[in-house]
Amino acid sequence: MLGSALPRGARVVVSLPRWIGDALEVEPAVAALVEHGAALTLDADGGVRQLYRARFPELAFGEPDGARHDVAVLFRGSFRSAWRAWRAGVPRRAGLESDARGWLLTDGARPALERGAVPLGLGRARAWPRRLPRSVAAEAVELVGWLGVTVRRRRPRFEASPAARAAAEAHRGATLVNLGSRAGSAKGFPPEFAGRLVDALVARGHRVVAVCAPQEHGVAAAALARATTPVPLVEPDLVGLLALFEVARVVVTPDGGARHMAAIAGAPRVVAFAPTDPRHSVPAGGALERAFTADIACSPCHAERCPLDGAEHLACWSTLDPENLADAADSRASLRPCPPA
Amino acid sequence: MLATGRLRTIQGRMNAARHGRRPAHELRHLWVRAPNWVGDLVMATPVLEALVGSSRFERVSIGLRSHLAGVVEGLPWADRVVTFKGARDEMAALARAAPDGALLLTNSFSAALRVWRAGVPLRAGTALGGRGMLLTHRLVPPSREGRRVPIPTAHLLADLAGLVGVTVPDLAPRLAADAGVRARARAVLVEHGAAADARFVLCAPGAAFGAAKLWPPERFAAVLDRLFDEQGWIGVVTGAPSEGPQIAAVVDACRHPVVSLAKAERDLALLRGLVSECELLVVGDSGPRWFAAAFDVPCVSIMGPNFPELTATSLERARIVRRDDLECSPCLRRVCPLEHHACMREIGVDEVVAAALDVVGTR
Repeated sequence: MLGSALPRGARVVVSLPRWIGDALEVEPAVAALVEHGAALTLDADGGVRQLYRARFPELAFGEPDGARHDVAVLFRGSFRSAWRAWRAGVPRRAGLESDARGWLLTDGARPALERGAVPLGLGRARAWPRRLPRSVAAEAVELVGWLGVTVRRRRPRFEASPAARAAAEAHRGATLVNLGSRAGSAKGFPPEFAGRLVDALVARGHRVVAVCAPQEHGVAAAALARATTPVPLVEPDLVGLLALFEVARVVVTPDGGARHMAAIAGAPRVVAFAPTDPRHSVPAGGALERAFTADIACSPCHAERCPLDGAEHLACWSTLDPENLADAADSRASLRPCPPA
Repeated sequence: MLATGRLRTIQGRMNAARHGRRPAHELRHLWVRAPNWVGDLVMATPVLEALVGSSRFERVSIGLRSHLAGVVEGLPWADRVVTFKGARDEMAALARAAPDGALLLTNSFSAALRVWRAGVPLRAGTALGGRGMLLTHRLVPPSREGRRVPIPTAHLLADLAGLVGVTVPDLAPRLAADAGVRARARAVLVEHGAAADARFVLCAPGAAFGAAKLWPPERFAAVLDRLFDEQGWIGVVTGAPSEGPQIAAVVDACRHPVVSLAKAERDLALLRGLVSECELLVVGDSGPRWFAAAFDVPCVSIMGPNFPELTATSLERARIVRRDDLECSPCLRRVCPLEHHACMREIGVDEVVAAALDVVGTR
């Protein structure tokens, strides 16, 4: 335990991760805090707020406030999240000492490190100091464990609404390809890659449905324009996306929030990690997942935008082959031949 | 942050310029040194499965002390196991295997020393016990002010797989108990006085770790009696071959008839069969707890001097009963240094029975 155990009834503000995938993975730790008897306020915005409001309708949402909160639990790893809790005067601040924020924390621990020669895994050559890539979910469980809170259930629990489930029925048994990403993001399928992937899946007999968030329409449409076979593009909100994954035969996606939603929905998955490291984000139910990683020295850089120009731009994606992803989708699809109604 | 982003950009450019494609870390033959504790070995089974199934290695061998072979018997990758008895035998096994990489799932100095002495070129493991200098790749667990903070052992084992680039998809322990193993367990029960279809509570009162983890036998007996009264389940008391006296002490203190396996030929294969067949396992903080997790059997574990964080996985069907209000606990000592043994003695029968009834309700 880092300090004293969290008393029951403690007023806790929980800083949820900004990334949807990470935010989904910490849900069991949030639920454990609720079960422990803490009075929670969730600090979240955007899609994360939408998902958590549906999951925990009884909880308050808001920012850290020293007058209203005794403890800040920082699942977010940024300096800013610790700074905000410190500035707000929250007396006890628990989190990992990442991003040079250790001095702002009262209950902090230094993250696990990887030492020694050139990394054997996906770590970049000569990168130093190397923080060991670890699962966000595991770190959240450990953090609340250090506060005396036990996380019994490890699988995140989010539910699609009945209306979303009814709307998703039209796509039951489809192979969903996630074409959404921020414009220019290195994590998303590059348009050329996405076009070839869709064609490869169609050629193998998959009934392909492309998905993206409404605000990602431009990126997804540009990708679909590269495919020779037209496929429908669906643009649900996050709850609708969860419902679609519940009835999908297989999901093909780059690393991102959709991957974690598909895991929660129990869908078999094929996931491409180009600039990112899968060890950061192993979701529950990982046995249904086939991961592809880029075999190039600059990966994983975890950069939102590829720092390289010219022929080297998005070189990580050039090491992956859409045909291999489509083959993997074939084998994954047999795990869920016909999702039950 | 902006500065971090810029640093990453520079690092990315430098790495691409220097190395182009990733340097090949072709590990043809990985030697995985399995844990020595029964519980840790069961916790390591998903990690071992992921390592064996990884396409990163041409061959994976699992080095295991021979007395633990019964734990992993029947698992799909059991043919990868290389057993040895002692240090000299392990050195000989390493020499025969001639791996080009070793991953240590134990934290002992001696295990690191042996792979170093065997000349294994790549040696990966935790930087604990002062052995960091013997390893080429090491994991430094989370710490605070220079001291290690407890994390679940299962997380640490998965992190070690991550050190060699392998992700572990889930942490659920795996064990095998085929019809033969289960039938043998039933036959042993019948031989020692149980009905062939008896519903039973399995009780394993021992602890290889040391006396500090032992709960008084008369309280185990009281729990078995109460569960007989409330559920109609008979008690079956078992333990490791060296735990005959503890078994006898529990059996002697029971009011209701119980099945004593003190005189049975007890081994880890029998334990797999018994746990997979029981309604509930009542145990200290010891290895059999993880057998229950593997077979999804409800379990109550009575914990004394240990950090609960170290074993905070696979808790869906487990209840941990411990005192969290003692200044001296957890001490991690094998024998209570204060001689009052309060961490175990202050745990009452009622709370263990309540935990048992709670957890069986989840089945």
